[in-house]
Amino acid sequence: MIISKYFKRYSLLFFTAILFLGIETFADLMQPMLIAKLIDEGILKNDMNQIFYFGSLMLGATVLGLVGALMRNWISSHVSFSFAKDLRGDLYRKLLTLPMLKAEAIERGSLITRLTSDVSMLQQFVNGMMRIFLKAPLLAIGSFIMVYQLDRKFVGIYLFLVPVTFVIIFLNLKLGYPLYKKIQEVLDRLNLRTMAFLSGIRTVKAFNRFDYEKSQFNRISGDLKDVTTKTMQTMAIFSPIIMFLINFGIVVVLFFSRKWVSQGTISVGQVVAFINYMTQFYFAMSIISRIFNVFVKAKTSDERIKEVFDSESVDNPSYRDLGPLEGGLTFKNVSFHYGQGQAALKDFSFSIKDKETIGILGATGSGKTTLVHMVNGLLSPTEGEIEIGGMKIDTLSKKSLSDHVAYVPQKSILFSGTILDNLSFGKRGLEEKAYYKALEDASAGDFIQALENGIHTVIGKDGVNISGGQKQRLAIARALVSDPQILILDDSTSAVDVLTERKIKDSIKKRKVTTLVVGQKITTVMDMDRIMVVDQGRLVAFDTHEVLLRENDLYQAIYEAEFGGRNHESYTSK
Amino acid sequence: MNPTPQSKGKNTSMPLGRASTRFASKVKPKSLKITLKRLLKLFSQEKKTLLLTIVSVLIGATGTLYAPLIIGKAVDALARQNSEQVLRMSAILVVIYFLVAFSNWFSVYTVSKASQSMIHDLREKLFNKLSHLPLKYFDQNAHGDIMSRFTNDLDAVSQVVNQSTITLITAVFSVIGTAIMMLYLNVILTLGVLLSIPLMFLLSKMIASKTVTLFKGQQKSVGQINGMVEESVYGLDLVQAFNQEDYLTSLFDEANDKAFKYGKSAQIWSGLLMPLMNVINNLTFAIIALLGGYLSIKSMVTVGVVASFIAYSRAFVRPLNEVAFIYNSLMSAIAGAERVFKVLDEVDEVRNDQGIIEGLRGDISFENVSFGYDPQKPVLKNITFHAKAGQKVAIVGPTGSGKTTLVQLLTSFYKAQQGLIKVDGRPIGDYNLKAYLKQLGIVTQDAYLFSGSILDNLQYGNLNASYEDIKKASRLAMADHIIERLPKGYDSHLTFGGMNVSHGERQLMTIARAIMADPKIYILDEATSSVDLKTEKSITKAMVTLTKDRTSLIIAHRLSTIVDADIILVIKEGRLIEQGNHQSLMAKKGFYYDMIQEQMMARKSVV
Repeated sequence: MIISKYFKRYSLLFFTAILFLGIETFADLMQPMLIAKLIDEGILKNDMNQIFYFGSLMLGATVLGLVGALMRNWISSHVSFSFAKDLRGDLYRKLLTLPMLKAEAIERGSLITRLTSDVSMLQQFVNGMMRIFLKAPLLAIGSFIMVYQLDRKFVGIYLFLVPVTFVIIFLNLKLGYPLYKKIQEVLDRLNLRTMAFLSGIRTVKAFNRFDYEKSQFNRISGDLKDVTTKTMQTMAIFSPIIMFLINFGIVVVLFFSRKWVSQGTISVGQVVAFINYMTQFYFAMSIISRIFNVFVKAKTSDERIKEVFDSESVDNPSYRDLGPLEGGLTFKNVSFHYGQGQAALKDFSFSIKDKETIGILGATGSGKTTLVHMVNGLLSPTEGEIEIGGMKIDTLSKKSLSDHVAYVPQKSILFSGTILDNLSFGKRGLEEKAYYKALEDASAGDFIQALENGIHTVIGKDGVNISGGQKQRLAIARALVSDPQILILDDSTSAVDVLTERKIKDSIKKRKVTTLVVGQKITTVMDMDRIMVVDQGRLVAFDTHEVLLRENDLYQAIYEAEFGGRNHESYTSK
Repeated sequence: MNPTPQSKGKNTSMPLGRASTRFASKVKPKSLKITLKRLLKLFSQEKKTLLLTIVSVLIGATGTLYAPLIIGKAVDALARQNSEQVLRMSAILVVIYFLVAFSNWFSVYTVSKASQSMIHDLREKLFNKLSHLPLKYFDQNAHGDIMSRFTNDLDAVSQVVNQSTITLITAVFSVIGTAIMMLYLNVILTLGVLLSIPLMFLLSKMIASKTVTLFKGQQKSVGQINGMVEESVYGLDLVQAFNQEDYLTSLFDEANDKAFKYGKSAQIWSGLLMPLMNVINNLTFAIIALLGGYLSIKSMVTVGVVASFIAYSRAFVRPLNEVAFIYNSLMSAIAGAERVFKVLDEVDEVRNDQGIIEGLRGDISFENVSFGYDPQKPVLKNITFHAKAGQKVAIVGPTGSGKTTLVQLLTSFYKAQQGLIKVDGRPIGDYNLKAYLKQLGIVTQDAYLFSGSILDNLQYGNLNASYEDIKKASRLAMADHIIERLPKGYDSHLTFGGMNVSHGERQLMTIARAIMADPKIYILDEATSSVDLKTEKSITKAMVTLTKDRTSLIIAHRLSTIVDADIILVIKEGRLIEQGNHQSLMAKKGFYYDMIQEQMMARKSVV
């Protein structure tokens, strides 16, 4: 379990807590013994002095117990919160290194739950272990020893009760584990469905699928009700059985005591003490069965957290962290498959020089985005090799790769906050001038100057709304801020008009950086040094605009589609 | 008497500040009484089951109270060496213990049923409510926040209802019952036990006053942490692409440290309660022993009574302890219920469920329509146009001019504040909304696909569609070869981020989905903006046959998509400034002409 790793870190404190717990438990155990003495020596013998003597001993035991409890509380709070802090911190660090494909496989909603409620579940478990759970076995053992001291005749009852109780607890565990796991699964499903409904509300409305969504939701909600009810009803059976068995033990003792008392082998006070110890024993056992119940839940959480820790990382410690490389790029027989499917990329081989500008053109679904994901490290080739600046890409650390390559996606995500906040994401702590320069180069300077608070304007849900084209330009500026050696624009000017697009590309060219521009339109890519034509996962041609226009059929066809040959004239004529 | 949960801080001030309030759920209940009443009313729907719970709790509690009395009698009998009496008492004890065990189980059995039914009911009500809320509600409230009502808030209610119902019933009953039993046995000893009550109140009050601020701080910092986690998870690709890990980690550590400090102190302080309560218990214990001893020496009570009293003093104090223990979670449950009720109290969207059901021809007219999301700031002003059934209408204009808003009025996502929108000569409000929407094929700008299989997603357009229908629609939308190339074809799983499918590919699938619906009116909002021109041309070709006899409204800025439209609406700053076909608008040499010229010029200059 994950817990054990952290346990080592706090084992000294943990055992100190147990020590104080021992003191606390010892004091608790003394109570019935002292009462027995008080009854036998004091009350039965009408000796007021003895009553006071044992009474004050009882008070002393109480104070001892209090000291133990307070110390234990202090230490256990410290340990359990330190544990949660360490675990949460480590898990967060791990989260940030998860490869995107893995994050999507786990489902993001589930990842959030693992970092939040699953960690709390484990914290509760650790805390509970120190607060009361360990007290239970100690109480059980203690009460056994005390009963043994009291009179050996009673021991037989324990020899019967203890194994039987443990069999019941074991059954409880065996039945409970799959049930709790099932609850967790259904809960994940329910959350996923609700999340999808909320994000897709426009689609739901457009197709008026409310009845469908409701029936789906209600089915899962019904499943959750059923499995939760069943689990609770099943789990509730064990504690009463244990309770009955132990209470039955009391009756058995009463039954035999008739003879023993008349024979004078035991005293009435001893019987009363025994009954008290039995009650304590029941108390201990019901806690133990509850511990195992919590343990089952904690185990589920532990496994879910472990899955995150066991995932591969973007980075491998053996990867190299290099300073600035140059911006050359080479693909050698690179192929890529998503899972078992057909190849999304087949046998790509090409070489790009430092500071060269490249266009990538192809139909929707031809593999352009997959290709650039190979360069920014979001995906790794199934076959073949990629070199960046002369270094094999799979030996570079993620940090050096992303220092090196900046990627602007098709659908740009900005966060609500100021424009400066968003730009700082590219690189933090630059002079304001540098941010303005990037905005200028992304042709976003004008509209930002026009805003009342300029670069400090809040955008997003709580602030100013910006259009799709403006968003794209800000995303480009953010990438420019990070001053990369390789810049990738993945159809990231689709909502920008042709003139502005040209202006942006011109200023990027001035920055002398290796640039890959993915585009749907010839106008987007034609002014690049060379253009890759991609079709159905293959690199069909790689040359300059002029050569392609002369020699490549597909390129010509796309050109036709865009400029429309004869049609073209009809737009402007008349 | 105990700390009440307070609001977890909202602002996380992360650089990825997509302000999330998902975890800012626990607010101090404002209208405690009203919420409690509503909750009880909901719960009372399970009357029959709950009655069984109460009966079995009463049986169990009575048995638990009665057992020490019998034990006391048995001990007395032992002391008197009355073997027969001991035997009789033992037999009674076995019966009582059995009854107690059974009713303990049975009360959980019934209360689980009642509470889970109630939560299920509340969950359904909440979801049902969401289907009746206007789009405005979803646009104005953070989804994370709505989500948290399903998760955090309902969870809190569910847990407390489960655990506390029995605890509360038992507590009330045992405190009263024990008090009666004790009074019946001996008044003086009872007074000794009752002495503990004021002590306990004083103690919990003292601790509560200290912990209240600590708990507040803890919940605030935990809320902050949860907000950060959520944002990092959803922005993971950006974080990695821009190497922001170290920076975010340092922010996270700071918040984590704060949560540690507050949490630890809160725990330490509230952890004082139980041991100190225990001291009071033991004190009571000792008082009973001393007092009992004294009284028995004076022959005012029997030893058995003292033994019983020792047990009773525990039975009396324990439920009070437990109530104090659940007070915290009780408060957070009520706060959660309040947030759920708040959604249930939102005003429903006005929706026509009767109205006209008949099929549409697709004749659309806008008459002086004005609309603003904020009525003070109109987004659309005085729009008037008429499209005959079967016509292709293109809507063009600069970004932010109100094109999407216009079609959102036609789809009745939002309602116009002035003017009339008519389809086939009747105001759209006269139609049965369900029947009306069924005849629209809408492709929204966001190209949203649910996480799930592609097949499920396409079937969304028509739940009764066969596999063949689906394949046919995908072929028309040029999506078939893309889908077939995926690992599991139509059964491939789409995820939230959709790593395996690009935006253009998603657009093709949403078009296929709309085709599945076989609508009378197509509404395509920048449906092919990320699709390459060749593919778009093929779709357009397919659409020509598809949209025969069907009206289509298309928002686009590519020339090729709009030139052959029957009517082109030119929208600028919320006004319909020009309308006509391509030729007439070009001849007019107005805004449209300029726009086209500019595009052509730009293109020429680029070439």
